[in-house]
Order: sequence, then C-alpha cells, then structure tokens
Amino acid sequence: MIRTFVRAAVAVATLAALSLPTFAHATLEVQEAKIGSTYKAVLRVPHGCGTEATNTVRIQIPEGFFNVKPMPKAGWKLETVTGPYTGSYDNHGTTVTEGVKEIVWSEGNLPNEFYDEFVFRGTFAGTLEPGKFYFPSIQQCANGEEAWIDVTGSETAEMPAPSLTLVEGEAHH
Amino acid sequence: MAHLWRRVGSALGFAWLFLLVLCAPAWAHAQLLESEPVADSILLTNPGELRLHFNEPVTPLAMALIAPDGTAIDLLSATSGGEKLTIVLPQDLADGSYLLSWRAASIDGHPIGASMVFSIGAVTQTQAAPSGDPLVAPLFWAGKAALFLALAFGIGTAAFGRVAPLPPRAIAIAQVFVLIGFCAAVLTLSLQGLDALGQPLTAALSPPVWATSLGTSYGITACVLALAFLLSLLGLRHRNQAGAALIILSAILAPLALALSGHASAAAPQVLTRPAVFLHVAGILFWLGALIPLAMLLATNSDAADAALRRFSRAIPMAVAAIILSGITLATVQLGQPGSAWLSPYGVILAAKLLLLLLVFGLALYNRRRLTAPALAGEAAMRRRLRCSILAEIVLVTLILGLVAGWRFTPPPRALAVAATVAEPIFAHVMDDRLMAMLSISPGQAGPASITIDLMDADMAPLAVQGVQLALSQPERGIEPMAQTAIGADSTWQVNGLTLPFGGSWTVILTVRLSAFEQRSVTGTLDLP
Repeated sequence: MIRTFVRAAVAVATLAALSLPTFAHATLEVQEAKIGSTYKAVLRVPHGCGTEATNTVRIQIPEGFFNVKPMPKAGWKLETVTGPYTGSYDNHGTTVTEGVKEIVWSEGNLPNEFYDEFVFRGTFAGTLEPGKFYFPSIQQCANGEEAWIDVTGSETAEMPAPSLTLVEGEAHH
Repeated sequence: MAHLWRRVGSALGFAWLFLLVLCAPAWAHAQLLESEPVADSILLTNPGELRLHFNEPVTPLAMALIAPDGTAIDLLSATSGGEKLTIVLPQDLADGSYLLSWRAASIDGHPIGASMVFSIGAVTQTQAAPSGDPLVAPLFWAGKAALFLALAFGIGTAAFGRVAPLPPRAIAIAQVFVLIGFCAAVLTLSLQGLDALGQPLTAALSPPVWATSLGTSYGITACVLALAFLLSLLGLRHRNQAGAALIILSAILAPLALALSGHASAAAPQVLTRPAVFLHVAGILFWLGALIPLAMLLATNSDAADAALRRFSRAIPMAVAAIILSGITLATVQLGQPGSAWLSPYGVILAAKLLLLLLVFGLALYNRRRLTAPALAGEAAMRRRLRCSILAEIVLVTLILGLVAGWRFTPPPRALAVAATVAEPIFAHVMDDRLMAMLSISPGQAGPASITIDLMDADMAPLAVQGVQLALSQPERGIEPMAQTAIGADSTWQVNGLTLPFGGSWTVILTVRLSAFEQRSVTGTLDLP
C-alpha cells in the first residue's frame, strides 16, 4: 500500500517537475533531433516584453546547423545575416562553407496578449556531439527586449535560450 | 533480504522526492513592471500602502518588510490583489530605510522573488540582525547540540560496528541517537527559517519559513543529515550486507553534509576548508563512535572486547591526526591575525573547547600509554579504570559538542576584521575563467552607495560589453535579489543611487551581456560592514 503510494507520488512529482517549465519561455516545439538530420524548428513566442508588443524576433544560428531556410511570415519583414562557417559541411555531396548565421523577422506586431510561432529549417552537421543545442533568440519591443540567450543550462536560469537535445543518428544516407 | 531492498527502494524514492522539492525550479515568467513607491526612493511620510504591478496575476508567497531596527514584519496577510498587489503598511512606521522582500508564484506555479528598498524621512542603516523570537536561539542551540551528539553517538557508533561487532545494548542506544538526530535535523531546519525571517515559534510550520530555510546552505546540510540518519537507522535494523552498506554510506554523507555549510566551510579558500571540515568531522565520528561500544564491552571480560579494543587502538592515531591537522587549519583560517578579535565570543568558545580538548587528549593518552596494554592482558582493575576513563571522555566530549553548537551564534574574527574598517570604499572581485569584474562600493558601508564595475578579460585587458546587470541578495536571511541595471559603456559601468539596507555577506550575481546573443553570469560575495 505504502509502496504503491510512494511510487505514485514519485511518478507524479517527476512528471510535474519535468513537464511544467516549458510553459512561458520562448521554446522550440520539437525538443529532440538526430545528429545529421534535417530539422524543422518552430520557435514559440508566448508573450511580449513585459506588456509591450514584440516587433522583432532575432535567432542566432550556431555553428553546426547549416543549409538554413527561414519561413516567411505575413506581416513581418524577413532578413538573414550570412557569413562564413568555422567548419565545412557536406550537403548531399556539395561542400558548404558559408550560410545563414542569424535570422531576423522585423517590422511585425505581436501583442503581449497573443502567441505566435516562427519557423525555419536546416540540417544538423554529422560532426555535432550529442547533448543540448541552443538557438539564442531575442524578442525586441518598442522600448526593451527579452533576450533568451542563457546557455548555461542552469535549472534556475531566468531566460534560457531555446534548446533541443541532439541524439546519435543513424549512418549517413 | 528482498524485504530490505524494498525498504531501501522506498527510502530512495523519498530521497528523490526530497531532491525534486529542493530543486523546484525558479523559472521566472511573471515580471514586476513597476512598484509604488519606486525602489530606492525617499518618501516624506508613510505611504500607507505599497503596490507591486506585475504583467500577469501572481500569488504572493512571502512578503516581509524589514524595519530600520532589524525587525521583520510579515505582511503576507496584508497583501491583496493579483496582477497589482497592494500591501497595506502598518500605521506606526518610524523614519528610516525599509527593505521589502517578496516572493510570489506566477500562473504556471513557479516562484519569483525580489527585494526593494525605500526610505521614509531619511536614509538610514538597518540593523544586521533581525530580532525574532527569543526562544529561537536557545532552541536552535539545543537542536544543534542534539544533532552533534546524535552524529557522534548514533552514526558514529553505528559506523564503529563495521570495525568491531556492537553489543546489542550499544545498537539500541545508537538507534535512539539516530532517531533523535533525524528529529533534530528537521527541527533545526525549521528554526533556521524562523531565525532568518525573524519569525516567532508559532510560524514554525508556515511554508515561507521552510522555503527560506531550504534556500539557505544549511537547508541542504539538514536534508543530507536527515537522509544520513535515516540510512543509518535502516542499516542498524538490518544486520546484513545491505545494512552494512547503508551504515557506511551514512557515515560518509554525515561529514559531507557538515562540509556543505557553516562558518568554517564558508571561509576562503574553500578548496582547503571544505575538505578540512570533512576530515575533522569524519575523524571525530570514528573516535566518539567507539566510546560507547568500548565502555560496554570492557564491562565484560570477553575476547570480543579485546579484539575491539585492539582494533580501536590501532586505528585511532590516524583519526586523531586527521582531527588535529584539520582543526589547526580551520582555526588558523577562522582566527585571522592575532588581536582583540581573539577575545570575541568566538575566540572564548574556541579557548574553552581547546581546554576541554586538552583534558580529553590527556585522558586518551593516559588510556593508551598506561591502561590499554594491561587491560588487554586481562587485569580487571585496569579494565575498570579504562572503562571509567572512557566514561569521563564521553562526558567531556558532550560538553565540547555543546560548546561547538554555540558557534552558530558567533561570527568568527575573520568576519569581524572585515567589519572593523569604516566608510572607505570596499572592493570585491567577481570572476570566472574568462571574465573578471572589479567592484568598488563607495562608501563601503550600509546605506546609500554607488557601485563601480570594471570589467576585464582573462588577460586583464579591459573588456567592452553591451550591458551589465547586478543582483544583490542575502539568501541566508531570506532576502530575495535586488536587481539593478548598470549604466555605462565599454568596460566601465556604474550603479548609482543604490541603498544597501544593511551590512553582512551579500551574494553578488553579475550578468554581463558580451554581445547580442552572448551573456555570462559570474557570482561572488560582497562583505559589507
């Protein structure tokens, strides 16, 4: 009896502790991807800066995520910042040495009361290590910003960068 | 056997629950948009009420106002509202600086908290120590003393059972001590919270008290100690291999727990002091844990008694060496330079402890040189005398542990030495492997102050950054972080118009925005007189 109770309590508490946090942060919809795979990133933006509406969303593309293409959004201007990569990556036989390093959706209007998603896709390099992969992101508003750029992985981080977990993938196709 | 493992499983399950509670994440979602009055403002009269305006409805968890005389006023019951919290202030507030420390849960259940200072009439210092319930301190002392005794004669005795078989009565006594220890760990955890918030004993079960206590370094110590006592109890009840493993685990956890908090562990350099505390406590546990079983065994004239005494005398020189070396290290760090600070209550307690210790060592040496060999040879008179001498040791050691429990209430001279300097700017270094910040607090005392922050990289060259945030908190007193945004450019930043309501050890968290997408946080302490 007691054992059943203990097990149930442990299960419930673990579930609660693990599932609650994704609520009001800027987060990615799909939390896991295989190394070497193509990934469709959906960044969820749940609120503005305090009460202000978000006008710009900037996402940094870290080394190792290449062949990046953002999805245009009605009502937002879409730009990318490109530059050389530190390494070189193989895109179906073509060697890629430069590409998108930052995506900027600007001149939009996302009021604090509403919610929106920002989509881009790309490929995780086969040379990446398993573990957390962060996409530091910034929401800019008229008089301030929300910088989701904490990549310490700390449980108590106030503004963690959106992240996913990379796992070992199958051999290259 | 299977039954035992089920119990161990349950115990581990509880431990996991415990950890989850401890690690309850502080993800912050609700944000404080503005406050009335604004932080660090000086008001002509008592504003009657305070307002905190958030971006979403919050549930207040703790609302403490710390008055200029150091008393903490619990204003949780005077707080109402959701998105806009209104806190009704008492009518009779004296002039001076007040600190409001609040904690609230946002919609998704995660707690956030912060502090702000405002002054009525004039900016003053707030007294460092909140005056809480007068019963809390003596109870805390008694709880600590009970904890130490339970460590020595509960976990220590259980652990000695791994050196030599324990007589059944010694097992019974150890079980009682271990139970006392568990209760004392829980009791002191609550008292720590009461002490930090300056609350009366009647608030012992209130959630803010526990939340505060668990947030302090002692919270982790008490939790690990409670776990060690539980494991030891399980081990004592199951006299098989699994039980033995639990006892050894608890004997490692107990000194580890004490090394996690306290004056000594907090002293720099921690690389030195924390292992020293661990060794000191581990050595003491081995020595004191042997006393009760030996005294009992020596009452009989058995081979078991001889074997236990022989093993004890072979191992004890190593334990004593560990105790003395680590003890000297810690005393040197804690006492600092010779001077009048040595006559502080801390110094007096240390002197009394050393005096009693000399007596104990004298007895121990006498036992070893004069009594052990003849006792082993079977001389009845010598065995009786050795037994009396061990009983005397137990009494003296109990006195010493009682004294040591009193240390909780006396700051060591190293802290007093820092406190003696007045008004000169105080400097603090906060750094990690890539970033160093030099903080200069002027004037270097409680009250209105400004902080200059100079940033350097690992090669000591000035480091230009885009922004700097400073958060000051005193987790030991349940004071939530006061966040300040620094103004400036490049490598020099400044926080002006800050009011540090009282001295003590402030935890500084500096968050530096290196570029648009990169930030680093460094943590350090600022000892303010």
